[in-house]
Amino acid sequence: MVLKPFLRFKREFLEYLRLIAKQWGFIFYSLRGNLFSLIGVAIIISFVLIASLAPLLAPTVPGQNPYICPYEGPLDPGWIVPPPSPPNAEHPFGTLDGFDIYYGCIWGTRTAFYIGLLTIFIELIIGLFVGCIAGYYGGFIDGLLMQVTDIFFAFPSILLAMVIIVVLPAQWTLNLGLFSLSLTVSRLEKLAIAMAVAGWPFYARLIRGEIIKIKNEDYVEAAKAIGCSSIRILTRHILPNAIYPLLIMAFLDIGGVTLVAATLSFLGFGPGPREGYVGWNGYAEWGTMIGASRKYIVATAQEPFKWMFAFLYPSFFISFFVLGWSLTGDALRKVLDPTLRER
Amino acid sequence: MNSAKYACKRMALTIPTLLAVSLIIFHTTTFFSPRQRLALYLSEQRYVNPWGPDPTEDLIAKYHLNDTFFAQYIAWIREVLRGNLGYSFLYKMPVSKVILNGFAATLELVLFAFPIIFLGGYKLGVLSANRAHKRKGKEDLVDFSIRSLSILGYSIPQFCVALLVLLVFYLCLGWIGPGRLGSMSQSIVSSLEWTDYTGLYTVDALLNGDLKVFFDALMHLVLPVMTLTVSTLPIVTRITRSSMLEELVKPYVLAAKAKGLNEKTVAKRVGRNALTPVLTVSGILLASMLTGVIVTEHVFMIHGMGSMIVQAARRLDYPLLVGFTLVFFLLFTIINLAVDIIYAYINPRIGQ
Repeated sequence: MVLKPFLRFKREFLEYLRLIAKQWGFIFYSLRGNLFSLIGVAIIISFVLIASLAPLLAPTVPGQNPYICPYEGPLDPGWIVPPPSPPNAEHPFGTLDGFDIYYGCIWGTRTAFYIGLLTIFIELIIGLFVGCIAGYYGGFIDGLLMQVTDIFFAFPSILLAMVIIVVLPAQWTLNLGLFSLSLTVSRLEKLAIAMAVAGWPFYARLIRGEIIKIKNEDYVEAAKAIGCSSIRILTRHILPNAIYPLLIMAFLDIGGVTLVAATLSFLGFGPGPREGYVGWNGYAEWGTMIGASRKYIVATAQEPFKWMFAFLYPSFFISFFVLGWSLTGDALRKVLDPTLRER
Repeated sequence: MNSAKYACKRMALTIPTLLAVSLIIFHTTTFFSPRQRLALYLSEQRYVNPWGPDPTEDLIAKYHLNDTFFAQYIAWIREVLRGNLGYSFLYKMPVSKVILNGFAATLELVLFAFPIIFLGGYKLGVLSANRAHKRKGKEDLVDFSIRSLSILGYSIPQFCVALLVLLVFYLCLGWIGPGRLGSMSQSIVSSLEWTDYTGLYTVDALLNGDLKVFFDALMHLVLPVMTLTVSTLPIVTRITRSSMLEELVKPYVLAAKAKGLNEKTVAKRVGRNALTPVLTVSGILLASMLTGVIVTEHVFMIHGMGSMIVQAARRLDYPLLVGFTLVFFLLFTIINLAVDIIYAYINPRIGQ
């Protein structure tokens, strides 16, 4: 008896899943024959494979954080950085600042997916909250919330994210008198939070638009007439009908988010155990690796191609990753939004 | 008249927005404790005397760091309105002066890059859309290559493009190095005979009548402008293409053709109608380029606003960071305002 609502929820959930599967089937069906999107999907699938098979492709060192690349060089990598070593049998892509580039590229895929999904998750939460309230209640609240959204929207996102990364403390403590909650945020999560704070207005606007469209449908009127509370109407009647295109849009945004994340870490705001370290701190993140390889590009005027591998491999990975998402995204958006369809 | 009213209303609305933004920006300082904020300035020996009495409490009281947030905010905004943004300990000069110095370099870059991006992107988009429309569903080689190149352009991160450009043109071909000027021209610029008119080296060189410096400055702009073009031009191309395709199927095009107008005239009319969304996006693009140059400036070692802001954030020069954020937002707002007002004059339906 206690389980009854949960069972019903399960049934509804399964039904919803079936619907989603059907829609995805339709989407993939309409993508066939589109060369660009097929290439994009293939790229994404191969990156998913790389990410999931990372422990096989690049074995970890036992007892060490898997996201820190294996290090070879002077025991205390204080302020002396070993020069890059070219690719050889042991290090297929060579080493950079003593760290293995191949390992960094492979595990960087996981970092990219993680940061993309985390950022979009936070963005969606904020966007859903603001967008729902603004769209459903309308009037003064709507005006106020949209003004705030516009302000955040007008901010250049990289700049805002940079400021937030700088000011965010690593540990948040919420003192509740009797006990205190404390939350430690790693530098990677800090990056995600900063990007989410800079990027949520897009979703808030999108959700608000969808909700305003659906708000005046007959079934919402009916739900109101039988006396449903507004929270129930929002969560059970409006959101399930509004959220689907949004989720796809959000999912496709992983590429863009990864690009911004890589840019920020290229500029030196990336994740890693050591802050303010001269070289690459060893964290498997493409942007950080490219940022560390930058100094070897400018330094070798006699042999310009000597250390190029350090820059080229990670650049290759990030470019293909973003390319895959934008190829798929372009085609999918065309399918989903009939007004964009080419005639 | 209506547009003027709209413009006034729009301008009046920006003032509360700016105030709100300044509040948000200033609020970020509360993430630091008064002691931390004071510590930014306590580098001098006399303040860290371990035997003397602890001066920090006195200093915190002296500079009102423990006041309520709003009292601090009002004191700050009063100074900001007077044009005093604080003192940057990284560059050892007032923040407003640092920003003015950086602004010239950024403006020079954007002034050269933007026309290329806007005109080039628009032309390519129109060409691509026309080709696609003519072929009706079948792939056209020109359209296909423009589309695939533009997807490639905005997929490759800007820093990769910048480094690649640097690698090819500086290291392999040895044409031009990073920076704004070569060492020769740099010494001319820093000499006493040189008069600084605008801070834009190309303009200053012409005003000083020094063609050598002018060409040097121009050559040094080529690589950054190329980088910006590769990563920003595809956005304009894409929007132009889709808005062109939307316009091309509208009934008035058919009517114009039926009337017997030749292809060229029709294309001109459609192009003008397709321009409106492109203009909006370009306004936003121009504003975002002022910040989008962060990566380009960082890689090419141009000491403009973009690279300075990275330094400020990395070295925790907080007054400079706050000043930059404020100025960036101001620029953003002004450009957006200008675009909106121009738009209202072009398309009077918006004001209603």
